[in-house]
Amino acid sequence: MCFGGGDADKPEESRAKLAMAEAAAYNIRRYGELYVPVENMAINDAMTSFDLAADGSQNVDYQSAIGDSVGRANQVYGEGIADTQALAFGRGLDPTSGAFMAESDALRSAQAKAMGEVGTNAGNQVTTGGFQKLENMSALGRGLETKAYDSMSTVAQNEQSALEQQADRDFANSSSVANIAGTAGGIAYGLNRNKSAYS
Amino acid sequence: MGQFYDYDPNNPYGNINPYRYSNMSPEDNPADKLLAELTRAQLEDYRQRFEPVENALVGSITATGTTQIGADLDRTRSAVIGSAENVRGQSNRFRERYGLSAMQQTTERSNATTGALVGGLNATRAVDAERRDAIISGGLSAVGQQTRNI
Repeated sequence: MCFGGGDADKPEESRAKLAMAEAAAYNIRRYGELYVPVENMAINDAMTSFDLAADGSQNVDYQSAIGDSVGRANQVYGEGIADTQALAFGRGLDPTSGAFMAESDALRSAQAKAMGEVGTNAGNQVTTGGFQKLENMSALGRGLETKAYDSMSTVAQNEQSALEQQADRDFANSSSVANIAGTAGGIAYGLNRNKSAYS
Repeated sequence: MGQFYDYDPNNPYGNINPYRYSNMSPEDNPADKLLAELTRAQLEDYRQRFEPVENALVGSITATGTTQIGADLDRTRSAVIGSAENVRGQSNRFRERYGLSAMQQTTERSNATTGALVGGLNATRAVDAERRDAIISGGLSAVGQQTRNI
């Protein structure tokens, strides 16, 4: 044990520790040059998820998700109804008859309901996606694991699948026109589904 | 802690020279000095780039959901009411082709739209409440755990 004052030797760092520190510094510099700009794009994307467009309207994510979903619902129901009507007329059904009008009205109501629902769901999913982006960037900053989230195309596919199931039920329930026209309605909708680009 | 070097958000570690202390005597602890620089740079980078994201996420939480609920409810109203008007227009155009008068807004149709709207608004509120819970139990709890572990 040494109680002497004066020049006690200072402990020396090992060369290996310096080499590891230099390697860490090199790697972090490289991370800064390569990955930080990419991370910054993702951060910017997350931070602007809920921003409005320059003209004050919904941003492009909302516009495209809602517009596409509502448009698809409109197409699926509109074509189904048109084909049902065409077949019914072909069998001599009076388009001004009360029974026909009541059934058309019911299908139009189902169409409006479906369009509203898919539009609502699409908007809500875009908002949830925005929060998932923020969560992911927060996790990235903490060095935590990030999670995959649904892309816009996955959102659209989910909506399309739900929409087709709803349309199947609505047209299957549309019995009176089909009965009058000899099940033409269901057949027409089925044919339309098969030729639809979205099916 | 103040800014200790010129921070560049697009290259926050560009000022670090891995070999700055290579020729320093081991007695002067060059590795410790370099590691201290790295730690400070990482903290500054976290503060500059990621703290605003955490602040935005935490700031979005309200007592019942998130701050986005108002915009989501507006979009729901627009989707449901806009769709009802769109379909009524389609139906009226069809009727006009057969010389029939346009559909009048009946109580039944109005009730159908109102029912769809109420359902949509309720669903939107439920989704927003779920989002709030997910943020608190998912990302934020992990952040809190990290903080406690430090």
